[in-house]
Amino acid sequence: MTQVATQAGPVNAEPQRQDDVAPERGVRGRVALALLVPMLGVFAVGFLVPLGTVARFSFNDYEPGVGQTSAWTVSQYSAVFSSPTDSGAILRTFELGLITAVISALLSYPLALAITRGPRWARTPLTAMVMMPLLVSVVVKTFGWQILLSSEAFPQKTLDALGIPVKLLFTQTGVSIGLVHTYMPFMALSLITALAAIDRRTEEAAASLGSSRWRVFWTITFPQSINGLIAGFVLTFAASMSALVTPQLLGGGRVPTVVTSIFRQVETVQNYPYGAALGILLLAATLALLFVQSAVLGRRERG
Amino acid sequence: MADTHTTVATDMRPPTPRKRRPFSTGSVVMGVVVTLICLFIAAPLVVVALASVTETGYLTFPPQGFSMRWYQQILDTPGFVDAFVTSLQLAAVTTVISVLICVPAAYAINRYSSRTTRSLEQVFLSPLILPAVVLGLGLLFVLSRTGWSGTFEGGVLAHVIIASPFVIRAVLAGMRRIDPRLEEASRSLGAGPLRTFFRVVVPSIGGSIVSGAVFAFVVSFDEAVVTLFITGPDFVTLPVAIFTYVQYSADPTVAAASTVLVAMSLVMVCLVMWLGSGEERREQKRNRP
Repeated sequence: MTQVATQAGPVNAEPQRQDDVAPERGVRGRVALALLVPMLGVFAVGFLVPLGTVARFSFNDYEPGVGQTSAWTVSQYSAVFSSPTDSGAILRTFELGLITAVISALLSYPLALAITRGPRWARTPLTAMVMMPLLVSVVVKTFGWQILLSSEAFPQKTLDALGIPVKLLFTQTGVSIGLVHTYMPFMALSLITALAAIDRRTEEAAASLGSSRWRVFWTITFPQSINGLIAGFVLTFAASMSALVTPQLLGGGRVPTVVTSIFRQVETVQNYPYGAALGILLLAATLALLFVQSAVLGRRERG
Repeated sequence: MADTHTTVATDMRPPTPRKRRPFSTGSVVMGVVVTLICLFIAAPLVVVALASVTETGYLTFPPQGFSMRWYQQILDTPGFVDAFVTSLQLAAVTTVISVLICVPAAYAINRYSSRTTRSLEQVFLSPLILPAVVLGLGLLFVLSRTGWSGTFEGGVLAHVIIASPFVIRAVLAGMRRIDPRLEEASRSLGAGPLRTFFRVVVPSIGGSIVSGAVFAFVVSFDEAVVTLFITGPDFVTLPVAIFTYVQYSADPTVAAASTVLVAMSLVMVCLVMWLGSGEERREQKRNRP
């Protein structure tokens, strides 16, 4: 945080008014650097070094009772894949990410359509509806679901009364509900941006040429919103894969994911190298997802 | 939805005053669907608020009776009060530092645009998308080595990393809207770079800085994941305190504390939307011929 002080100093050092039009490269570079230094310092210490440490620790050795020992080994990674609990957790993490992204898309699309195409008076309240969960702590939202999904509350009682053998709390169903609720706003905002950017005249033209509303939607509106859909899909997928609070509280230990497994390693076992290996796998999965996204979007742009 | 547009084509008469069309089946279905989705979004928040006024000594839904004693109980639970104060302080310090480091950085990224600054922008935004757990794990490793784990200062470092992407994004968006000729004009009229920055750039992106700061505050105030890794007996934030209570002994006091958080968030939503609409109005005014 001490870097903050340096920001003002070097800016003054720029030679003044001799080179209004195009300051020479070196000076520009130095000014830019001086302005960036505080941010770079904080990010180096608080972001790059921690991520690097996780990567390094994931190749360390761990002995129960002794703790972490410095090494270069992939034994933690092979331990992850040979543990039935954690390889199962990896699969479940993907599954939860996929379910969350798909359901979020299905719920957000009508909402985004209503905000961008619906009556004017509905726009502000609906936008507030989308924004609100984003600004409420995930802990509070999840707590609400824990009350609502418990066996004494009416949703579970209704299911029981109807004889539907579905349990809500401490199951994958409950965790999925919580994840959709938490990450849906990302999808909704992405779709709102995409739908608002569509040139309305393309829709009007199709309608004036006699297309039904249904057909206008599927041939004109929907295809133009696909990039936003992809962006929202990747965002909700990645976010729900790295969720901690929701699977921890709504899973109650019975729905282990990669992240709850990391948390358990740190809280109870203190096997840091193993937790680090799980973390790097999660990071790799996220980066792979982003890579696929940019490949798909790039391909769509090239046509 | 969009019913007015479908009628445009076939009738070529001059536009008649728009009559209220009877609701079509399509828009009724849409209205019902959207209402249900909104109920889904609001449900857990409403449930928490309702559960906090129960008369029973345990959590139950629907609540039984009406009592405000759990709100009184918050004040008698030192854990919550201390955590609330810690969260407020943490969010305030985080916001100030994030703004101080992000505004110059965003200015450099925008003004001295090159391949390097563009990739730096991606790095600064990456905490938004990269798994927070990995950051939490890394910060735990690094901070515990230096004895900073479980301290307020360690928390500030973590929260600045998490909050600054929101500030960078808001400020950059604001800067990209300013006409670069304004700065050139100021410089050619003899103002130095610092004076230009504070008299021309900062006033025109004031709204963006404020909305970035509001986001930073809210994000820091609500953050739970990274904080859970670096929390300690002397450093507990309100979301971490609520998490711990919910996991082990949820009672109506937790619901009351959570409701206070929801109420704060509601105020923040209104603030953000109000700031946003102000920005939009100014934009429209500027673009008017």
